[in-house]
Amino acid sequence: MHHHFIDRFAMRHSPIHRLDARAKLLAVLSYTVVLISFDRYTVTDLAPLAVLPLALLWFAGVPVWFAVRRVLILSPFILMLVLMSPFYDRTPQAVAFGPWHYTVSGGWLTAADISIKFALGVMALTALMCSTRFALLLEALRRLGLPQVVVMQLGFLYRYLFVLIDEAMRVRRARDFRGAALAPVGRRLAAAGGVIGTLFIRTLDRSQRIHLAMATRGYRGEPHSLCQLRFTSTDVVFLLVVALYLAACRWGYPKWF
Amino acid sequence: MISPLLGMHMANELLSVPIAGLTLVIAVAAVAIAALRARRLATDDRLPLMGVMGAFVFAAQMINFSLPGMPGTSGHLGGGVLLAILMGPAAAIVTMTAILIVQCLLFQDGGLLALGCNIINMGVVPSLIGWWFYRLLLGPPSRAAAWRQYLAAWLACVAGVTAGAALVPVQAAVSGVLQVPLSHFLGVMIGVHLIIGLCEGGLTFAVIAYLRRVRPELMGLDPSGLPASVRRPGFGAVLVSLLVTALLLSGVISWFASSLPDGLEWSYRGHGYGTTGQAVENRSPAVAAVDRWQSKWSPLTDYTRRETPLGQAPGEGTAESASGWPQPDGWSSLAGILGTVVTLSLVYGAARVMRSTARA
Amino acid sequence: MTDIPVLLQIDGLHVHYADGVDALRGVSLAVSPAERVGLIGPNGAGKTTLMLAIMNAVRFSGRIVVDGIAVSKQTEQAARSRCGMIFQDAEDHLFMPTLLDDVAFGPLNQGCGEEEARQRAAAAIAQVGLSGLEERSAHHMSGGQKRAAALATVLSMQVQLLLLDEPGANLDHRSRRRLIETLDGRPEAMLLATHDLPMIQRLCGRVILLDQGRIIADRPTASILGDVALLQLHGLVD
Repeated sequence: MHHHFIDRFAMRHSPIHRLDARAKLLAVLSYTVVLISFDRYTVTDLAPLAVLPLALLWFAGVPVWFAVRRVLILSPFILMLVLMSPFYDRTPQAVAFGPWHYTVSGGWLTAADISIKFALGVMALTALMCSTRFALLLEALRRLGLPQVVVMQLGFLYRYLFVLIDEAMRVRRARDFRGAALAPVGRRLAAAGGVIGTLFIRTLDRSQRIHLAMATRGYRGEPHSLCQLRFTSTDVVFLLVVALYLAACRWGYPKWF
Repeated sequence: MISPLLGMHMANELLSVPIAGLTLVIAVAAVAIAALRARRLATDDRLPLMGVMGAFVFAAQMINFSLPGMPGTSGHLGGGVLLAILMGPAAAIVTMTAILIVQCLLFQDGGLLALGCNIINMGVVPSLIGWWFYRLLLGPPSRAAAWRQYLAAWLACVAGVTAGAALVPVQAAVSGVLQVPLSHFLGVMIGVHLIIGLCEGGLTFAVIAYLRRVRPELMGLDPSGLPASVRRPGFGAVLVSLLVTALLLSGVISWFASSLPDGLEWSYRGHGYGTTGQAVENRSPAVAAVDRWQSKWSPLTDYTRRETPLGQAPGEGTAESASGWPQPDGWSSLAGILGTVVTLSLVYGAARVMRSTARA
Repeated sequence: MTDIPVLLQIDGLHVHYADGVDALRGVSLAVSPAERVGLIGPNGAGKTTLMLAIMNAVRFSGRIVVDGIAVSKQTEQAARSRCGMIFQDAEDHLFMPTLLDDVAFGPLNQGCGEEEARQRAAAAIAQVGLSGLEERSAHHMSGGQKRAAALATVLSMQVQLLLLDEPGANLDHRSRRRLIETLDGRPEAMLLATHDLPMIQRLCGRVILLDQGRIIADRPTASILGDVALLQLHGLVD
């Protein structure tokens, strides 16, 4: 039952943690939009965009290596795609960075471009999740317009995610300890099917019990959370700073350099 | 620590802003419709069901099944199709949406702006297509023979998973960021996901077999009407399902591959490749990609390496080179071999099942 | 007969399950306000079913009156706000993202405003000794904490009758002791179903022995727990 890697950070306190969840969500969302709005060859223009995720991580007290590890763990699929592009796109492109001038084939630029954007995007998202408790984020999503049905389901999912994963791990361990790896294919498949089927039935029963618990506590309609989200002047300042920063990255920096 | 199971989620960076926006809008509309329908159909005690089922899918993904003859690889359940079969497509879509949001937020798997695409590719499409295939092939559920149910589930998985995966290259291509030709990307994604769909289909079939035995009412069967002997998945049922699935698969693969290039010639022109006349790579990158994924498989030795098509280098944006798509033959042979390998291993698996049921 | 007011009155309660089992066969009992009654019996005796019937979560025939309200589909909401039931498995009892939300769930549904619900929740959380954990999610809590949290979720509803189904199961010694102390200080009436005879001895003045859906005995604690032959007959002690 030791899965608290994100929650561990989210429970801490810092200036970033204290910001309203909606502000942080909007900031990261706009950041991501600006990030992908850059053309695929303008790799060097991406440089100043590294500031935001690093700053958020730093002020939230989250070690940067943690975010970098997230990037590495998630990269295989994207890397596979990205490494294909140098084979296809061989148009030479000029790259200038300060005093250096290179000519590189377009495919490599695209590969670098997508990789950098990916890394920055993941780090920004990590910064958001490590500085915001999930319950608050859920409330922010609700206030920003996510339908109540989905919010409720998200709440249940989050709540029972680790319970069910633990259950699955216990059952899987029981299966492994009884030599499942040595079994012939048919029995192995049947065992896997049985385990998942059992989990499913248990989940059905569990959800009925949860409903019973809700009903006996008088549930009639939509429950709403008591999580308070308060938009303060700090949040307004934060959003303004981020907006200016993003504008500078998108339109200022490319022109000035 | 749980290692997050990596699906092939769409990433922000492969999308352009307008496409991200468009897919988000489509996804929101689809989820809203599904939510309304699920709410209406669900009885009161099913209320927490969808969220908790989302947790179930996560948990079920932990149950791996090591593939025969391929040590180190394992099959997992994606979930969309199984959910649709068990709960109907509307509830499945809402559940998959919750799952994808959690994967995006808690595990950063899949970008914020790619949520629209992911919801469509891994939620809406597999649920709808899987459900449709399943019902189409099943006929009336209460009278469905075992083999028919297994076959329907298996094919539904393959169809649903592959259809969703096929959308990824389309979305990437329309966004114009990644410079891999659509047909190659499509070929790889479809090829890989046909195999993934097969594994997922196998697991789905096993789950349904179990539920048929233990809680037949869940599968739409009348529990009292089934004699005990019928309830056990017989060897015959398994074998027939496997063989038919394999045969159908090989047919589908080659059909798909050969119809690919004609419909998508325009994608070459649209991307404006460079005009350098470099020599063709010996190994098609698509094959390299497939090989990278199936590293433990013996190489597809009879695969026709890509020859220089009609004497022209790839990536030339002229109409001639587009029509010089060399793959129909290469892909068909790949298809044939894939089909054969798949069929053989399935028959092998079925034989094992026969031995174990005979012993039981 | 006596002029002690009755909080819970059950007459001729029958519960028949769809799979053919007769869970309860003609149960009658009465509980006074602030009275603590222990419910013992082997597994399958019908203890949980009895509690579910009081909460109108199973179909029953017979008469159940809670605080003057006859329990039925129409009066369900009113009756449920008088009783609070805690299941054996606390896991399914806590389903909101944070503890505060879970404990406030009941009051909010009872019609309290947000501020009042918050206050009631905070008070209940303090009463079970979990102050400071309001923002925690249930999967971060230990078994004992979860059990206490579940108790808080019904205490915040300011019920008059607590229905506790195996509250001490799977708790370590310290958590169990803490639970007993908490329950001991409560003013509510209590129906406590458990195998934990020492817990009953400590908390309850009266014990009902249930077996195969029937009440075998309904006597003061000392009398029943001292009747070893009776307990042996129904498989409760060696």
